[in-house]
Formats: sequence, C-alpha cells, structure tokens
Amino acid sequence: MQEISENDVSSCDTVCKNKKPRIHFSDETKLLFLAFLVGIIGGYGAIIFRSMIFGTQHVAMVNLRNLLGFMGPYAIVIIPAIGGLIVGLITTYFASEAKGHGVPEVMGAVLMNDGRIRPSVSIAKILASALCIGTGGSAGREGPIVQIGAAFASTVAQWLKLPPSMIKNLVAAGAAAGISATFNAPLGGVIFGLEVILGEYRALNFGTLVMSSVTAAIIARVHLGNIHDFQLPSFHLVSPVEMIFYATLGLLAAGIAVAFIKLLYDTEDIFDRFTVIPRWVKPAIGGLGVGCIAIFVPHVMGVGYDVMAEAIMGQYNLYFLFTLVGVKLLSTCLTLGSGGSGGIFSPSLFMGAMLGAGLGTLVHAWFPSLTASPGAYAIVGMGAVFAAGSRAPFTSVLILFELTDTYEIILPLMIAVVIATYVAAWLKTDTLYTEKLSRRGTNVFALKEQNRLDEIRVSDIMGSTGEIVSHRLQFSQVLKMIGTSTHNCFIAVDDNENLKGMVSFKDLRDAIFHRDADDYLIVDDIATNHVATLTPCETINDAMRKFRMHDMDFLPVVDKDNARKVLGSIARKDVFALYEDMELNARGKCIL
Amino acid sequence: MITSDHDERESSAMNVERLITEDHIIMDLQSTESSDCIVEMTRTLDKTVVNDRTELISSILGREQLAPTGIENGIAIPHTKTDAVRKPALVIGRSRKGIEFHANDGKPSHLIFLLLLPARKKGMLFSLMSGIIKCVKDAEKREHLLDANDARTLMEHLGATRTFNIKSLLEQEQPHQNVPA
Repeated sequence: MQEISENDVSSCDTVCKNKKPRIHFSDETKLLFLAFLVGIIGGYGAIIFRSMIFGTQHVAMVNLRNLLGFMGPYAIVIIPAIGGLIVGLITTYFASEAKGHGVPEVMGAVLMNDGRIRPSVSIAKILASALCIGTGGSAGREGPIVQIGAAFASTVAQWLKLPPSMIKNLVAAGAAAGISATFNAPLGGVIFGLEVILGEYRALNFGTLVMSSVTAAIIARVHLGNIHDFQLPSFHLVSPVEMIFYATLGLLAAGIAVAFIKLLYDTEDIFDRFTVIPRWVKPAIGGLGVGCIAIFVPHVMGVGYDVMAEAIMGQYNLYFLFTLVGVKLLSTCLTLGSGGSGGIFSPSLFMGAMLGAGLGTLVHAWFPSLTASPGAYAIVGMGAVFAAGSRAPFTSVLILFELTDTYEIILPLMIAVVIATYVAAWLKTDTLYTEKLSRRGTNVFALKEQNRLDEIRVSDIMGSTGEIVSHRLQFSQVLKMIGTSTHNCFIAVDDNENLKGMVSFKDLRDAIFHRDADDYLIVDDIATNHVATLTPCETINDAMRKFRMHDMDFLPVVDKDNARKVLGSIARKDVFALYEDMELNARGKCIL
Repeated sequence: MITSDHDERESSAMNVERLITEDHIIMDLQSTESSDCIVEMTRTLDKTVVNDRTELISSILGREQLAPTGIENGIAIPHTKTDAVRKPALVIGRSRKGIEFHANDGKPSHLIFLLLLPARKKGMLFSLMSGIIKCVKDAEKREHLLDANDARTLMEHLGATRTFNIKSLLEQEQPHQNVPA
C-alpha cells in the first residue's frame, strides 16, 4: 500500500488556500482584522439604531400625537398604522428582506446563499425597524441589529471576494456584534453567533466572533455606559424547594414559546392569504390592530424594556401580568405577521418576564418563606421563553447571566432553560427562527448537514481502504490476497504507479463460478478503467455525489495536479458512516 | 464503464455459439508472429463489431505486453476489453506451424482464440475464458479442433460443448452459490 504522505495533503491545502485571492497574510489574521471592523460597525450600528428608535418614538409619540390631538386617546390607534404604512412601502419597494424579524433571513443567507446578503438590506432594515418600533409596533430591536451587523459583514466579505466559509464566519461575527452591543453582553453575543447563526461550535469561528463581540461591546460601553437596559434586583435561591417552581416555570415557558411560534407564523400566513390587499398596506393593518390593543394596554407598544423592568420590580398584579403575556403575544404576531419589521428576542423576554413574575407572585403568596421575590422568577422566565423559542439555551443562560451580573441565578436559570428547551423541542421541531424557513420549503436541518459536509474535505477522511496492486498481477494472486487483506478493494497501477483502474468485490462476482481462468487473467483484465476519482481538496458532498453517480463503493484519491498519481482511497461506507455520525450529532444539537 | 446487474446477467448468459460465426474462423493462419497473427485475425471483423481497428489492435497488443496469453497444450487466448469493439466477439485461428504466445509449457500455440469484449461487458471474461479452457482441456476435443477440415466442422465441435453454457456451469457450481459476491 502506498503511504499517503502528509506532504501530499498539505500541498493540496496550499493549493486550496492559494485559490483565495489577494492573500497577503494568513486567513486567521485577515478574519480577525475584519471581525474587528465588523465589531466597530456593529457597535456603532446598534447605537445609531437605538438613537433612531428613540428619535422616531419622540416624533411619533410627542409631535405626531400632538398633531392628532383632536382624536384624543384614540390617536394611539393611528400612530402604529402610519408607521406600518411607511414600513410596508420600504419592504415592498426597497428590500423585502427587511420584512420580519431578521434572524431567519441571516440564517437563510448562511445556509442557502453562502452568507451573501444584499448591501441594501442594512439600510432598509435600520429604517424599517426604527420606524416600526418607534411608532409603537410590538417588536424587538435585537433581530434587526443582528441583520444589520450581518448584512454589513457580508457586504465587506463579498467586496473583498472572500470564500464562502469566511463570509459565513464574518456574517456570524456581525450578528454577534449586534447582540453584544445592544445587550452589553459580549459573551452572549459570541454564543448567539455560534449557536443560532452558524449552528455549531468551532474554535476557528470562536476567535472571530470574540473579536467582533468584544469590540462592539466596548464601543457601546464608551457611548452608552456600562449599564443594562433594565436594572435587575439582587437575587438568591431561598430554598432548594424553589427548584420545583422553576422547573414548572420551564414547562410553562415551553408552552408560551410554542404558542408564539405557531401564532406568529399562522398570522403571517393569514396576511399572505389576502392577496387582494396590497403588500405595502398589510403592515398598516397590523399596526392598526396593535393600536387598538394599545388603547387598553399601552404596555405592549415598542420594545418593552421599561415594562419588563417594572414587572421584575414587582409593580404589577397577578391578573395584569398574565394579561400582558397574552396581549404581547397577540400584538407581536400582528406587528410581525403583517409584515412589520422588528425582532422576536425582546417580545420573548417580555412574555417570559410576565409569565415568570406571575408565577413568582403566585408561589411567593403561597410559600413566602420558601421562595424569592417574583422578580427572580421574571428573570428566569425571560431566559426560559427565549431558550424554548430559539432552542438556544446556551445563549439564553449567558445573556441573562451577563444582564444580572450574578452567579446565583445560574442554577434555577439552567434548570428552567433546559426543561423549556426540551419540552418545546418535543412539542415543535422548528424554532422561532427556523419555522419561517421551513414554511418556505427549506429543510434547515438538512441544509446544515450539507453545509457541514461541504466543510469536510476528502483529505480529512481518506485512508488506505484500497490495496494498491500492479495491473500485471495474476488474478489467482488477487484471490489469495483477498483472504489475508484487510482492504476492501484493489487499486490497479501501472509500472510507473499511475492509476489504471479499480477492482472491487463486485468485479470479482463472476469469478466465483469460473475458476479455470484464474491463472490466465490479470488485474488489468478485470479492473474497471476510467474510474471517477477524487482529489483531497474536494468535499464530502462531492464524494457522495460521485459515489451515487458512478455507483462505486470505493474511489481512488489522486493528486490535484496529476490525476494519475494515487494518494489513497475513500470508501462509500466511510462517507455514509461519517454522515450518520454527523446526523446523530445534529439531532442532539436540534434538541439542545 | 458501469453495467447494470441486468446487463451483467444477460452478458454472462451468452455462450460461445452465439459469439462465433463462420466468418470469424481462420483455418490456416499465415502469420508466424503473435502480433501479425492478431492483426490478421482482426481483419475478419467488420464495422458491426469494430469501432476503431487501430485502437483495437493497440489494446490487444498492450494486453499481450502485460502478461502472456498462451496457455498449455498449444492454445492461446489473447483477449482485451476495449470500447474499440461494439459487442463481444470471438475470432478463432488455427496455425499449422504454431505461433509463439509464451505459454507456460514453452510450446507454440496452434489454436488461437481471440476474445474481444467491450469494456462494459468485462464481466463476461470469466465465463467465456473459463468455457474455452474447459473445452480445450480435453485432448480428444483438441484433436478434433486441430483436425477439422473446415470452419463449419470446427464450429460443430465447439457447438457440442455444453461447458460454454453459463446455466449448466452454474448448476455444476451450485455449492459455491452461498459465497458472498
């Protein structure tokens, strides 16, 4: 058997890398520098976006409300509708990707378009979301900032003509920067990028995401101060019995999250079904619905951080807290389902906070000496609903941990988050982020598999599954070798060790019944010539395609620059075993 | 080239009677060298069989260079698998003087079976070669073939050979059927 030298593989790596244009220093250094740049833009993007929301809020809720003074309290019905109308025009005539909550669009770009996002999406998204949220639409600002950061990163990467793997990495870095700056949670940003956008944890991605996330967080802290949107009370676990209540909270959070996923996309489907209504009008109808709810419960408008803070501080009664869960769910579905622009992160936290505070109020009234204040349950509820909806438990725990600055929260938070995630996964396969893609007919999990297979090269798994033999070798010798060889096929080479063909067990099938010719046939007589080959640079997807196309059980791996120089071989069963392993791992990740 | 299982089965079922015709038998080869002999034998094949004669000859000679195709008792079975032929073909040549095909026993070959297969039908090689070898192993049969006065007589001697029929071979090899393919 010809040994596969490391030089052969590394030379191929070099060839692969050399394909990337304009490399003056290593890919890792280049990516880190670009991630730093993306972090700066992500940080400033979040600040500008935040300022735009406040500016729009001031114009809408002060100036416009004064202008509509003749309508009295009913002016609030019209304002979200006006915002929706402008948003509808932007998303219909400028960039349709700015519609919705952003993260599915980024995930879709990573999974289906090699991370390519149109540059206009950044501008459209920032305008549409600021208008939608500023005029009272019930949506979060995190999804848009994720999309803005990702779109900018993608634009830079495309401009520099980077390969798809680097574009995807930078897109995730852009998303991480957005989350980091908006929550002042750099660790949460990193994990969000890995867990939600890329769907995997890899050391190479980690460095890039850390760079962008930390840069964005520093910029946000410099300009906004090292504070969080809501001040959370100090927290401690009063009694171990409380874990039962937190577990119950996890169960309830799963139910709310699944209801949110279903209702949000059902609302979207209902709006899509009414084709007689122009697309640009639909967000205005959603805004009108939110306005009607806001007459009675104005708390549902906007991002709702102030309302969450008040719930955490225990300023609402039980009845009102549970009412807020329902009306926030409805108003968010109306805003985003009708085609408005904004995120689902804050609404998830909002519903979780209300649910947790409600349950906390209840259990604290029943067992005051055994339980913490309702605020603690509100914090855990926030994490649990978001984790259940996004199936991003790690992100959820870390962001809440960073927001509270206390380690005490970890135990109940982890229990509630894990229970919520598992129960939600059991109730519904798709998440808040993947449901949109699934309804469009995209199998997110299959695409993730395909993307993973595209990242594994033949050189990673090629080995010595085939015994290299001379094409002059007598067939009777081949039969003797079968008995002792650990290999499953024979690669025929000529006197100069150039590839001549392959002999598989399939080729030997007829020989079993006709042994008289054993001494007169040679390998060259029975070998399949002109076999398809692989090079170490090709991906496992390429290998699977060739195995299917040529109906071969083994394929020789040859040098990229010399198609007759055999480097090794690869077995169909090994490729499929790898695929099965990855599928099992992915199933595990789907649940967690 | 890949063939389906159906093709393989169909190919394997083919016997020598279907392969040879009177036109593909040379009762008295004029060549004295193996390479000339091969060229002479391929001349019997028309365009319904041969795609590219030059390529075909090159392929047969190329195979000869890898390992000799002469077998004991004055028999040689030069063969090749090549897309230069459209369908399987067998040309039989008889040389009174004998031609050197480097047989193991060192004797020249008097009966030459030129076996040609398209690359996609290479699976037939085992059955056809095995059939020819079984036939000529019998000294009496060899004598009949060498003494035949004309091509038709030679064909009759071959046609009477049951061993070329794959079905009968399979019946004989029944105990081997459990061997995994």
